[in-house]
Amino acid sequence: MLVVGALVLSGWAIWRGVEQHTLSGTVLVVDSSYLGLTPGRTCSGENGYDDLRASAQVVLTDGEGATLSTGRLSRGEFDGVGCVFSFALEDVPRADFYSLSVASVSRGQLQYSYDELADGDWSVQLSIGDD
Amino acid sequence: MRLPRKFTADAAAGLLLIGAAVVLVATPYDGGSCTNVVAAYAVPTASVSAEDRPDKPRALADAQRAVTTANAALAELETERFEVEELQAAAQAAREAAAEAQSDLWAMPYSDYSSDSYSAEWDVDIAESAVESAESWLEYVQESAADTSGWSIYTQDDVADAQADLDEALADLSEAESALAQAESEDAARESEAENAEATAEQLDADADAAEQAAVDAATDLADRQSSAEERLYSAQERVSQLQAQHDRAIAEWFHEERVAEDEATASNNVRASCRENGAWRAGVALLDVALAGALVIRRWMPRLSRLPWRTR
Repeated sequence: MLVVGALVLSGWAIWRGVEQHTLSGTVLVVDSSYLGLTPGRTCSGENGYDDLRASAQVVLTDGEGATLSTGRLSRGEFDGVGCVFSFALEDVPRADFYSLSVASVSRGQLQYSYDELADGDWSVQLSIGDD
Repeated sequence: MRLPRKFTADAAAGLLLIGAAVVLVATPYDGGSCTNVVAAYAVPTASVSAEDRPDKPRALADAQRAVTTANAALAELETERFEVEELQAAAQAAREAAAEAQSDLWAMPYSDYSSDSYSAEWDVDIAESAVESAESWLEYVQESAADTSGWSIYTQDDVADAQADLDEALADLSEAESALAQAESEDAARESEAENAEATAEQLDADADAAEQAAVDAATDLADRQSSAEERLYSAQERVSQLQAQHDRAIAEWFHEERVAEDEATASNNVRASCRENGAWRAGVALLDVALAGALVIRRWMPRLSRLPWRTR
């Protein structure tokens, strides 16, 4: 009986375990309004990207629309190319598909499969603007 | 050969447990994000191998030094501008002095000394004419006074009067000649003074010309050197601007790449953390499996172990 229990536990651990991930990412806003800015300076979205700013919400849902994790955009920083915001979504459980929305709902959602995120080390780099 | 049933069941269970433990520890998990449990703990924390920030190019430093040098040269030339302005002021003063001297020449009273001399000559002519008349009269009166026919109307007294008139005319002539000499001497002095003044005016004019030429030459030379220095300055500034823009682009690129590398390191460390978290569970379960397998072995082999030499009881 003990052996059977151990084997069942092993099967659970092999199949799923306590799989949880931290999905990290960045949003790079490229716009001519940042020309002349020194790298490292604080910035925020401008000229139609006003919703991309510090503390804007980031939401990750699964294929059924259930919220899996939420986070906030960090303070924007000019990285030499554009204004970059970072975020980290903690305790992301396994799902077949994920939907990611950043800041304004009107920007829509980005769809990812589990394999895509796993292949990308659970990191996504988003870019918007003149790039 | 036929194995005992109990042995077969224990062996199968043990093999399953060991197999499960091996799979738990040695196979990839979390969708392939984690290679295996051992690797999850063997992988060190990812860190960004920071590349050095691009140094300021030597050419940029050289161009900036060229700008500094050109600025210093221009500042030095600016001090020379005061010297040129002094030369220009001196030339203007010389020109004013020359003009004043010329003006003084035209104001000199040429007509005065000419009329004085002319008047003195006229007085001498009159005095000579008077002397000639007096001499003629004296001669006539003397001849008449010498006539002894009794018809003469002039006496020795008249001769003496005529002689006195002649003496007076001679004295006037002498005085007029003396006045003429005096006037001519004064005319000569005035003429000499005028010639000297004219020579002085010409010298002042020449000096003014020379001073003006020197000022023009200095101003032209200064303008040429200023133009050259400004050209060097603009060229150096343009080069600094270009090189600075290149350097700024290199810095921006470096900053961006550093940021991307940091993001990658963060993601890698996040994966490492989740691999370790799930790996700890998998290791724990594998350990349990191994323990159970060990217990099965002990149960199967315990009777034989009791007969071993080091088991005295």
